[in-house]
Amino acid sequence: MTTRREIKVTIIRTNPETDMKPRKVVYTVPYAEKMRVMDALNYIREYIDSSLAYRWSCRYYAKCGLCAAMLNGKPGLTCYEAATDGMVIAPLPNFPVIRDLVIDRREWDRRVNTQLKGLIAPEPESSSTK
Amino acid sequence: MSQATADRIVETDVLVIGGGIAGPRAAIDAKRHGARVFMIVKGIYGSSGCSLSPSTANSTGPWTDLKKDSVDRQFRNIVIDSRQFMCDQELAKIQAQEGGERLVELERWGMVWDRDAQGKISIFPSGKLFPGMAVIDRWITFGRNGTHAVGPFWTGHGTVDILRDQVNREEIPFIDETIVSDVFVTDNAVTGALAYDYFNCKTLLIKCSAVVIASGDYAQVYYPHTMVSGENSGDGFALAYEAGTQLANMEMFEYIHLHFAYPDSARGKAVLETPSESGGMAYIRNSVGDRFMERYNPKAKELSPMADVALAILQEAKEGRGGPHGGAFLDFRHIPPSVVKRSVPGRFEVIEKLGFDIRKDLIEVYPAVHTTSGGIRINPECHTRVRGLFAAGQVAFAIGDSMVEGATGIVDALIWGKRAGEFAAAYSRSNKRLESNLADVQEKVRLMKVPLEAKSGIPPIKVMRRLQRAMWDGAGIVKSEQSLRKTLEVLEDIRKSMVDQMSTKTKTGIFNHEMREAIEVRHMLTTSEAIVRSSLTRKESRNRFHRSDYPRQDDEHWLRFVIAEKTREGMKITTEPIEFPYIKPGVSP
Repeated sequence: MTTRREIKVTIIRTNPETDMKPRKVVYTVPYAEKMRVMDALNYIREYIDSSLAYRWSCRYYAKCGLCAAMLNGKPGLTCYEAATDGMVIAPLPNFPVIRDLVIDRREWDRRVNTQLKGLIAPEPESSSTK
Repeated sequence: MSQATADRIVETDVLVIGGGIAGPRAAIDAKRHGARVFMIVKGIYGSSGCSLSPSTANSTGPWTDLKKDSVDRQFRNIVIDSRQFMCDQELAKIQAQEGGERLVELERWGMVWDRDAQGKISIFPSGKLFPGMAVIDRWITFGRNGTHAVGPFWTGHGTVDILRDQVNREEIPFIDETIVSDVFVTDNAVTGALAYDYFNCKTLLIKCSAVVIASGDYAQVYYPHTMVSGENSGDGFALAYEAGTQLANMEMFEYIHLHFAYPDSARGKAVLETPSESGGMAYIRNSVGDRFMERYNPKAKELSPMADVALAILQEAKEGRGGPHGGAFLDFRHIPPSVVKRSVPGRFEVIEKLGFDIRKDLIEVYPAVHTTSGGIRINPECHTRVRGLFAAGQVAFAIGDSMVEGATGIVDALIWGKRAGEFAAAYSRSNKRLESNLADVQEKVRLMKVPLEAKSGIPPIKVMRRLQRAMWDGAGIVKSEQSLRKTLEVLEDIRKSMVDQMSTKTKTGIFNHEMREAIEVRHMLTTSEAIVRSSLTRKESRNRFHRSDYPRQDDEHWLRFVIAEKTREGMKITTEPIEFPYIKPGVSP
C-alpha cells in the first residue's frame, strides 16, 4: 500500500462550446487509503473545479454503469477502480463526447429502450407460477 | 400562457416523476386506463436510481405454502413485528393482499423468478441468514444462481428492465436527465410542473391535471454515509410539501450496520448484510481486538438485532475503541477464503477489489443510512390531500421498506405504483385541468435560473456538502435535542446566507450538472428541515429512531404519527394518534 500523501491525475476535458479539441488537465488531489477514481473526481468537483462533468449514480455497486470511463486506456467504472498516481482519465471512446467525461448515450439508450425483450404471457393467471 | 415562460411546453394528463419501479409502474397503468402520460427521470432511465439495487422481493403469493403462511399472517407480520403498530393498517392490508398479484404479473411480462430443481419458485432462506430479522421466509429472487460481478442478486435490475419493456410497448413518452423543480397548484388542485432539462439546458413546463411523485427516498442528505444512489436527494418530499400536502414520520429511516467505512465512494456498500452470510460467522471486533458484542448481548453476540450492533459499534467508537474511520472491524481470518468465495462470490470480489486480503486483513465497517420509512401522506388510492397529487414507492408514507421484514421495497413500489397510475388516470378523466398562475410560473422560472445567471457565487456542490455534513453530524443515527438544534441552525444559515448566493461555474448550453445540484440543494433543505423538526418532536426511541436523551420506547405517548406541513408561518409540526382498525396493540392475537 502506497504511503503517498497526494496523487496527480490527468483528465481529458472537453467543452464543445469553447474548446476546439480536448484539453489535458492535471489535478493534484490528496490520497486517501484505498481511494477509488471517483473519490478523486469528487474531490476535484468539490474543491477545485465544480464544472467538471461526469455521470454517477449507484456508487460502488457496479450496477448502473453510468460512471464508466477510459482509465489509463482501458474501459472501467470510476467507482470501482483504484485511483493511482499519474493515471489518465478519458471519456469512453466510440461515443460522441458531450462535455468532459460525459458521453452521448442517446442513440445507445434509444436502441436499448426500443428492444422488446420479454415474451408476454396471456392475461389469465400464468400456470407457470404454480 | 405566454411562450416566454419556458423553453418547452408539454401538455399531458398525468405527469409521472421518477423512473425507478413505482414511476414506470404508475405510467403503465395510467396509460392503460386511458390517460396521456409523460414521465420525467432525473438520471438516465433504466440505468440510475436505487430501484436497480434491491436483491429480493418479499411477499406471499402462489409460491406460499398455505400450511405455514398466509396473507393474513403477512399482514400481522407487517403491523406487529415489522412496523410495531407504527403504520396505517388500511395500507398494510393492501400491501399484504396485492404483493403476490403484482409479482405474478411481473412474471407474465417476462420476469424469470429463480426456481428449484422441480421448477417451483424457490424461496430464499432469509430466516436462516438473518435471525431475528426476517419474520418468515417469503423472499423470492431473480438472478440468484447466475454468476455476477457485484451484489448478491439482480431482482431490482430485472424488475426495472421488465417495466421498461412495458413502458416501451405502451409508447409512453419520457425525458431523462431532467429534474422537476416545482409543482404548481391552484385552489388546492395540481395544474402543472416546472422542470429543468440539464442535458440540453432547457426549462420545461408541463401542463397536467395529475402528478404522480415516485422519486424515491431522501438518504442522499446523509452522503456519503448512505447506500442509496445519487438521484435519491429527496426531491419528491420537498415538491409535495411545497404543494401543500403532509409529510408523515420523516424522522424514521432505516440503516444497515456492516458497510465499508472507507473510501468514501465505497461507503454505503455492504461488506456483508449479516455476519453469518459469509459461510461461517464473521466476527466483529473493536480496535483492541475484542469481540465486543459478547458484552452487549452474550447470547446472540454478532447475530444480535442489526440496530443493537450498529449502536454498539458507535458506542465502542465513542469510548475510544473505534477504528480510524470511527467504525468496528469485520474479521474473516478463521473462515477459509474458499468458503467465503463460494458463499458470497459477489461480495468476495468487492472485498478483493479494494485490496483486502481476508486471510490477514480486518475490514473496517460503519453503519450507513439505507432507506426512508416516512414520507408523503397518501390514502389507499395514493391520493394526497392536494387534489391531483399522488405519490407511490419509497417517497410515499405507505408501508415502505423495513429491515425487520426485509426486501419489501420492490413489492411496495409495484403495488402503490400501480394504484397511483390507475387512480391518477381516473382523477384526470373526471377533473378539468385549471391553468397555472402565470406570475407564479414566471417567478419560479426566474428563481431557477438565478445560479445560472449569477456571475460569481458559491458552487452548489459546496452548499450541498455542508448540508450533508451537518445532517450526518446532528441528525444521523443517534441524535439529541442539542445535536438536532445545532443542525437546524446550520440549515437556517444555509437558507439565509448561501442558497441565494449559489452560482454555477458551468455556464454552457449542454450538460449543466450544477443546475441539477442547485435545484437539489433547495429540495434537500426543505426535506432536511422536515427530518430535523420531526426528530425534535418525537421524544422517544423506537425501531431505528434513536434519541440519546429519550432512549426508551414510549407507546403511551408516542404511538403517534409526526406530521410536517407548510403554513404561512413556516413549517408546522403536529402529531396525530394512530388508528387501529384491525389489530390493537397489547391485545394478544
